[in-house]
Amino acid sequence: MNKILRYNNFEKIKKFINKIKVTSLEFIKNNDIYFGEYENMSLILGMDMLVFIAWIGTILATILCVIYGIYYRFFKKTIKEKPLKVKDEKSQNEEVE
Amino acid sequence: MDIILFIISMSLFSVMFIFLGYLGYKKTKTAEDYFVAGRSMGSILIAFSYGATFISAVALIGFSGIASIYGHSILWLAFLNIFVGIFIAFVVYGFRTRKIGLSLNAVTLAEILGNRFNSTRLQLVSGLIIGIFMIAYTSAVFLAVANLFQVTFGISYELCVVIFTIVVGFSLIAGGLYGVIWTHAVQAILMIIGMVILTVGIYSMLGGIGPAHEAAAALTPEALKGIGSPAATNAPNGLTSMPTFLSKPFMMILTLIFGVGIGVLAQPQLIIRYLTAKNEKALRLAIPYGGIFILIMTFTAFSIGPLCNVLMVNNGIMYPTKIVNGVVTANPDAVIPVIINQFFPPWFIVIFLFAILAAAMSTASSLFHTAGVSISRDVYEKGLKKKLTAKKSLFITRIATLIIVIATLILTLKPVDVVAFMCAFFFGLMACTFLAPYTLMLYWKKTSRAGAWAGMLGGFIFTMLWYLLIYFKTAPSIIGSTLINDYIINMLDPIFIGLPLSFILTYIFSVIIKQDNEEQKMMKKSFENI
Repeated sequence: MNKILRYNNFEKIKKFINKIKVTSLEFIKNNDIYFGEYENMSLILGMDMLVFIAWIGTILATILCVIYGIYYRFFKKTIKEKPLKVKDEKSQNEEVE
Repeated sequence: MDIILFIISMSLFSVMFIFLGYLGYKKTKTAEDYFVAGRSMGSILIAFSYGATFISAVALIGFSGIASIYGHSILWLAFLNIFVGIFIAFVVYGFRTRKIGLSLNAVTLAEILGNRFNSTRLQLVSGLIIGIFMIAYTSAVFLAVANLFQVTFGISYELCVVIFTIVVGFSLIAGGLYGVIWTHAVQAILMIIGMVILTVGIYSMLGGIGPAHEAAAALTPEALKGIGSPAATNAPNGLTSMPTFLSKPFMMILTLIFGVGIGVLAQPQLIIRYLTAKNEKALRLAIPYGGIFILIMTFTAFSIGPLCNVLMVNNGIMYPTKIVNGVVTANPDAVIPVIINQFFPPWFIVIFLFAILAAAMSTASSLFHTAGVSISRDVYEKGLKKKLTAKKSLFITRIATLIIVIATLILTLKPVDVVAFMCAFFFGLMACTFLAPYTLMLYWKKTSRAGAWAGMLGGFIFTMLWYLLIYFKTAPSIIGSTLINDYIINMLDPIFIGLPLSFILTYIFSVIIKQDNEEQKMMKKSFENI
């Protein structure tokens, strides 16, 4: 634990995060997915990084739901379900009429 | 808006509701039909009913307004609504809840808890908490939508409340959960149409996604101040940027995101939807439909809220206001109605208003149903140990639902402050009270009755005290000020402390006071289908 908390390690982590930041910004610029003003602020589709993550995360979460549905609809057609033991109370199933 | 148009549209809407209620009545033969729609629902109906119950008028109108104040950072809630509210809810909770519900012959959350822990008292207390707080919540839903109709059509508030309550009450009491779910499907379609047209309209007015967001980002605090928008101070880093860490707007966003985003997992009216599935596959296939539905509702509502500021600034429209205790304050709830009245054609105004009405009515019908079943089944039949035949049980449930509908009508006609507080408590309270025992019951076989009581009561008492004494929205109105004068603490939703506390209490008491023989039998029975 002490090793992790050493000052040098913090510096390394800082440098590493900075490297990721620079690389990702370059990637955004090079791939023309950067619509904001370059000099003033780092906006993606007019949103800052954290808001953009929420925006894209919402879409990705929906895609996850859709892929899950497609998988169970077309690829995993048989869902192994134990034969259900239900309704041992007679009253539960009594017909009203 | 023309009152004749309102009368024609409302009549068509009511006839549809009453017809579907009648079809539900014909289909409802047993108590199980009334409680859980005969456990026969397919994936699309489950998804639409879950979504329409989840998304109320408050979520569409209220949260769009909140987004117009705090900016796009509220999109984190849309992410949680889909990832937690749909994906985690169905995958982690849905399948097991359905199987355990079937094993224990349970039709409500309170009954699942009561049967699993072999305690009718636990079921009685849970049913009472759910029933009482749900009446207040339903009343607040009607109050919001009646206000909207009063403003738009100029119809008296009382008349709106009476019409809405009678229409929803009839289709529910007659048609049971069949009637509710079928009307939900129609309402969900109406909601989708309304939100898609609104979103496409606003984005196209502003030139598409990128330009619209850039225009929102470019709004200066001075421009926002010029139209009287609270975003000038509440979105200090801009409408498309996150607020500074631990600042007041950040704490507000944090509270909203987690209070609602996580709280959804323990909502009794949503848990009933898992029990209506005809099989596990229906639940699994409901996930994509549910995800898309929530995307169309919340993602669009939260995205267009901040853009309303751009439209208002560009066209010199002032941010809507209201008078509270003689003081003029911003009225975020009126932002979307103002934009629609200014920029959309009259035919769309009617469609959108009925989409909002559909959102309110679908949530209200589910709340009425859950509250009615809680009071009749959990409190009267099981809690007070009345032996009822299926026919009598169905009759008692209809009477209980009727009483709840009348109580809600009275509360909405003469709203009292306590209703507003109970409504504000609802989401957090349900999560802190039920989520820990409910989750551990599903996944940890050693969860005991003592653990469930400790987690439930610990979470309930803590949350009530937090809302009464500390929470910034409620405490000043109840006791005059907050006990802790630090905004980071008093803006924190109780779910941050109450939920872990409830989990810890459930675990510790389950370890200390173990299950007795009867509990163990019920535990084995509950897991026999898993």
